[in-house]
Amino acid sequence: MGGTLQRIDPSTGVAQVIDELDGVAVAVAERDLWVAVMDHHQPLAPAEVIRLDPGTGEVVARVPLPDGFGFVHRILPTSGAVWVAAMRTDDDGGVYDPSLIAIDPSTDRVVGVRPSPGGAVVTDGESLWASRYLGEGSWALTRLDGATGEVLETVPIGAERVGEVLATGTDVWFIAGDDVHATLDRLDPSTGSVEIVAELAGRGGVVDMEASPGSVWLLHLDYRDGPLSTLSRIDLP
Amino acid sequence: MSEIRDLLDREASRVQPVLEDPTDFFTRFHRLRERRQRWRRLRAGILGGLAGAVAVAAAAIVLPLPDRPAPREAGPAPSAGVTVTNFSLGGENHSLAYGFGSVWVAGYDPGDAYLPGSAYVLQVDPGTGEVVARIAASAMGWEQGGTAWPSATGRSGRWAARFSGSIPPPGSPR
Repeated sequence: MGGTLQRIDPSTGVAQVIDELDGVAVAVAERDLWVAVMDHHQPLAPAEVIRLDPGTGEVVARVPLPDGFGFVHRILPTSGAVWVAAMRTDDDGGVYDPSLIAIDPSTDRVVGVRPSPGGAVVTDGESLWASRYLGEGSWALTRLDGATGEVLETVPIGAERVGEVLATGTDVWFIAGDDVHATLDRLDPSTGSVEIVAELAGRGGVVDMEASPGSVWLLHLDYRDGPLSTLSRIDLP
Repeated sequence: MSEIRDLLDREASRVQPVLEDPTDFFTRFHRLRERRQRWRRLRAGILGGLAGAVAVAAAAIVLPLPDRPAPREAGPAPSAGVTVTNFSLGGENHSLAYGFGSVWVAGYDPGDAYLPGSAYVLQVDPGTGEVVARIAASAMGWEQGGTAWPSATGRSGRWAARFSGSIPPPGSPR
C-alpha cells in the first residue's frame, strides 16, 4: 500500500492524486518537482529521488541515492544543486551518518556527498543553512555553498537551544529556547548580528515556519493538554 | 508493520545515548517518541522516528570552529514595532506553507490520524486567520507537507506528499 502525491488547486481547493508515490519528502524548484521515496520494508535499499514535471506530474527522471542511504529527511533545491538530507541505514534498522547528497539537475546524477553539519538544514534557494551544536550549550548557524556544499561560515548565535530554522535570502530566522519559553530570533547574514524579534511563550513548540511579505508565520503544537495547534503571525515593522 | 515498530524501537534506543546536552533536539526527540508510542497504537509508520533521529544524530556532527564571535550574550530586548497575532487552529497540525495569497496548514484530526478523511490541508486567510477552506487529503502523518509553487502557467498548485502504508488511496478498499 503506497502513499500518494497530490496537487491542490488553490482556486478550487480540489486535491488531485497525481501519482502513487511512497514519498517521504517533497520540494519544488523552479521547473521541477522533486519527491524522495524509500522502501520502508527494505531499510538497506537505497532511497530514490524522483523528478517530475510539476505541470503534468509526469516522472522525468529517477535518481538512486548511493548505496546505504536508505532514509531521506528533506530535499533542498538550490540554484547550484539539489541537495538531499539523508542518512545511512543498517540491517539492524538503525540510521546513522547524516549527510547531504548533491544531485546535478542537469544530468540527474549524484555528484557529491558531504557530512551534514547540523540538526536543521534549510535553504534560501542559493545557500544551505544548518543549525549546529558547538558544545557547552552553545549553538551556531552554518552557511554552506549551494553548489559545492563547502562550509562558508559559521556564526555563533548565543542561543542555548535552537529549533526550527527558516532562511529567506535576506535573513535567517530561528527559534531559540524550548517549548516553554522561546524566542523568534533573526540573524542578519551580512553582519552576523542576531536580534530577538519576538517572545514566544505558552503555545508549545514551533514545528514549522514560513515567511510571507512583511510577516513570519509560526506553527505551534502544544501537547500539554492534548494536541493544540496555534498559528502565529509576526508582523515586522 | 511489526517490523517497522521494532525498527523504531531499536532506532530510538540507539540514538538516545548519543545525547549529552539538553538541546532542543532532545526535547523534540522525546516528543517524537511520545508521538510514536501513540501512533504505534494507531499502527503508525516509520518516518516520524527516523526524522527525529536525523535531527538528534546530526547535532553531534563536528565541523570547523566558528569564525565569528558570539553576537549575543546579554540578550537584547524584542524588536520594537513587532506585533504577534495568534490564531487557534483545531487538529494536530505539522506543516506550514505560504503561497497564492494564503497560508496552508497540513494536519489531521487528533486521534484519527489513520482514519479516512482525518487528514486535511487548511487554507487560511493571512489577514484574518480565518480558515476559509478545509481540503480533505488521502494522507496523514506529521510529515505531511508540501510547497506552494506559484507559476505563470496557472497549472501549478500546492503539492502535498507523504509516505503511507496505512491509508489507501481514494476509492480503494481499506
